[in-house]
Amino acid sequence: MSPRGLGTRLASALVVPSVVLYRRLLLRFPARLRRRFGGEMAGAFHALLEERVARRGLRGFLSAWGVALRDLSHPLPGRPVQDRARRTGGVDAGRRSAGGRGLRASLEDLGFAWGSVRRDPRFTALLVAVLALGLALNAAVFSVVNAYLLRPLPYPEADRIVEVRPVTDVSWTQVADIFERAVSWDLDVFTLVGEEGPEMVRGSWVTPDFLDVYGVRASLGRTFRPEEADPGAALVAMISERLWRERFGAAPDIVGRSFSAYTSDRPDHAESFRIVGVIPADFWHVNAYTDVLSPIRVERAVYVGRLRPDVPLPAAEAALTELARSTTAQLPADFQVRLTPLQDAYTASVRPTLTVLQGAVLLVLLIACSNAIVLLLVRSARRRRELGMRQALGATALRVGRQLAWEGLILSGAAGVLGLAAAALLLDLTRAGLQARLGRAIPGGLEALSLDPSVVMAAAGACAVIGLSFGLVPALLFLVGRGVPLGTGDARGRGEGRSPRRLRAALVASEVALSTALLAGAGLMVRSAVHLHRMPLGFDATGVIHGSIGLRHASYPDPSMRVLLYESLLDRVRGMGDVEAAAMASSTPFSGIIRPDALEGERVRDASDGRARGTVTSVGAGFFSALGIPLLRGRDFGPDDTEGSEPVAIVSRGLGERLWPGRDPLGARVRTLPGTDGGMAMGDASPGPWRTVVGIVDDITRDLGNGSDGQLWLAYPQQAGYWMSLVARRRPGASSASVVTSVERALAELDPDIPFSATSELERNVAAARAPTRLVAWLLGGFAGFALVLSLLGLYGVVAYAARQRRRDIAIRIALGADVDSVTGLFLRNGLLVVALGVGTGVIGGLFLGQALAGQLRGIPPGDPFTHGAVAAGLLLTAACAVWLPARQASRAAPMTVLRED
Amino acid sequence: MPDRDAGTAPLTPAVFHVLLSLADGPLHGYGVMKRAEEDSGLVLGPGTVYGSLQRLEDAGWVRVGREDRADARRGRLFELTSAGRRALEAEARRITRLSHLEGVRRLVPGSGTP
Repeated sequence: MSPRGLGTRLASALVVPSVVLYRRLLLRFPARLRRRFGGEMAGAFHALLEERVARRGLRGFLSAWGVALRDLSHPLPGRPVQDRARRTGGVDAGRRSAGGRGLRASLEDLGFAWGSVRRDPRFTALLVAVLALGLALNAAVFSVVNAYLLRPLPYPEADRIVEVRPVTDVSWTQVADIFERAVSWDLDVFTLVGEEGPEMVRGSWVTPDFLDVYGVRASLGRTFRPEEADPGAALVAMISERLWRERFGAAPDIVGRSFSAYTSDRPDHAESFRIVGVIPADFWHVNAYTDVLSPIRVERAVYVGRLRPDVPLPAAEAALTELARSTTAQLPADFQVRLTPLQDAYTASVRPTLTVLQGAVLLVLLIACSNAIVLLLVRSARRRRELGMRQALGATALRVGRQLAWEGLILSGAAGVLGLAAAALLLDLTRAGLQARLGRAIPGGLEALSLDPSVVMAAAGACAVIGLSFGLVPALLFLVGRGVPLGTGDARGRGEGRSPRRLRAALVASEVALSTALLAGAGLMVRSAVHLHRMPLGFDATGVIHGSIGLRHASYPDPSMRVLLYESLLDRVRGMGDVEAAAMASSTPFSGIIRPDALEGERVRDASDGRARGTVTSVGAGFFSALGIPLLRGRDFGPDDTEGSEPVAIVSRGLGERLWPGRDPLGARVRTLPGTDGGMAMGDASPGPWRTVVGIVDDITRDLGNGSDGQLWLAYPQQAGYWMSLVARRRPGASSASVVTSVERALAELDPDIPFSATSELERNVAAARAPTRLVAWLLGGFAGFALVLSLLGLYGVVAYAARQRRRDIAIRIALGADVDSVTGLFLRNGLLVVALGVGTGVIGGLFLGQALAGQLRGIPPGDPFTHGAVAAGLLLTAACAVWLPARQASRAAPMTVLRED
Repeated sequence: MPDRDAGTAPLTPAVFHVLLSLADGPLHGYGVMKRAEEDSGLVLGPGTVYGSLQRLEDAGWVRVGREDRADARRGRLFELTSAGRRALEAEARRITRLSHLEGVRRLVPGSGTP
């Protein structure tokens, strides 16, 4: 989409509203003319607009409005012949201005404003561009904030839907007094089998009210009935619209048909589900496990509920806490159920990031605005003569102020339109990437992230405030500084009051301060991104592909059968040309956060405590070499570590040091302890068997959440599960897709009913884990850079202006023999004072910003002296340049040239 | 309301251009705007054009006719009356006279040569 095409399209879209507006503006003309020719005038304006837009696009559109506005603000045609008063337009304008009232006068001021905006196109373009960019960033970020945090989840009366935490033993059937409806669910993977081939889809076992809580109806068929959740009832299911279209060809008779699937509920054989309905395509759930829904047939603790309208949240919390106490004995005294609006619970992880980004772009906008005001102030000082003239000719202070306000509104309005267009483009380009990097699906789907009316309203409001402040500040200054005799050579730089100078200095100092703070924040984020990037993973992710293999309990009841299948598959995969190494593992790094288990090392002779936490993973022989994890001592697992042999383990170096401080872990024994996390029983209730440590490997980073807690590795054949991951490193030059295809083929030869699912590249997972920090670092860096450029521009502009104001002064001094350096120094001193003030304030602001960012920093303290120091020093240096350049220029000008000016 | 000054006082530029654009035949308002722009690069807004036309009608220099049959959307056609044509000719003569002034000829080489 070329900018020109966009402009033309925008202009064409605005033609009809323009004519409507013009019709209203016709009120400005005398009633007689309006009654007689009003319709034709509007028609003529319409024709003019259409013709100009067709010829010159947006520019034509603006010029047509220019013609109309001039026409509207200008005198009504008087007698056909000229008269004296009319020939002296200025005087007449002043007189009419003085007497003008209401809309007519206001429009006249609009005309003057339009004229002055057009007179200085480069200035206008710069101002509008800077503001438009600031507004575009704000509109885009605000759209994201809006999509995640502000707009309610896509359910009717979504604010009444709350999440229950912690999960209690209170069943969803017990809470009818508190919730209108309550739900619970259990995520599962359904392996659909049949003529269409095996397909794994994500689904959930849900309480019968599941869709009703969210206020969603079936798009075909119906939702569940309560009796369908009875333990003995026949299995029914609802399927997603996607599944209906893709697997069942959108069959119109789908309701009543059945499909077969394996689930973890009854893993030993495929069960038949009768389809009762289709879930509408626009149904969105906090998790994406909604391809198949089936009623859950056991008691389940309530997860989410829709509050009854008559039960306030605190009362509901109290009632639930009471229920939990009566259901579960021995809850701690301070046990308290919390109900969080579902939206808050869902967006908790992105909230800090979005808050930081929105804050940063608001700062950028603030900087852009103060920058624009500084530029306008500098210009308004130049325009004192023009405005003074208007006033002398009889225009009231109000009228002059109104003209300035109109100018501000024209500028900010133009910036607003451009900014919104740019924001729309920006969102189009970044929508999908943004969602991926934030790691949370946008509520309501990707399309929900757009410039919706609330964003446009907010932008319009911001524009109005900005525009008026643009007008008001110079207007106030002009009126305050009115005592100076007008037309007595202001252009030569005398007679400017002290207050405008001070205001400009204060504005520039605050720009510098805001930029300093923003840069410090960006610096911290960039450094934590670098830290994450440099943090040693402890393994080599390049070219590693992994995917899941799920076996059916019925076909592989015996662990040795499962090992046989996995090993046969590995033999085939290892023999393939595009695979360098392959191994089995119960899970892979960077594929979901795994909570570390409590571990106990057998006490060796003395009585050291020997407990530590570490993540436990079962892997097969060759896993460490496939991932490039160095084996430090001892041996890798081998073919002799089987179900019947002595249980063995490999510990990571760090874990070994913590379990057996100062001793050799090799030969020692270790076991897992029952989980004690969060008061909920996790895993087995009794300790695992003692296992002998046969090897020591280096620590790895399992995910960015845990850092390197230390790992305990078990030999997978000694507890072969139904779910394993196959990890394969491709040969250089081979593609991941070809490896996946090869594995699928090998698997199909062994058992055609097993899919190779959830395949992904390890490198991608690592990158995805680093993405949010990187995103914030990049964005903050960009925003801060923009802010820096703006504040330097403001600084330069103010010093250059001050120097220009006093150039006669300088010229005389230099002509009289003053040293160029001493004159430069004069401006340098003033400018640097402003800079120092700004940077000083900014450093304090940066420290506060650092605190606000603390939760998102990795490996760097919020008050890191190096970052804050470097930012301050860098800013002082660049700002000094921005001051020095114009000061130097002013003192270098040839004295005689300057003195001859004006 | 015939204007006493007709033929003596100079016309305003807008009125002159509106009259001039009608010299070759009737036009509607938008046609006047286009014609003035083509002839002299002068962009007259709808307010100026219709305001002038109304004044000219009052002065008896322009007559408001029927709707343009070819393009009814554009509205009514305007045409010069004989008084209007006289006023336009007078103004044209005045301008020509002006351009023959010795001072003007010196200012603008090539102007005013017969």
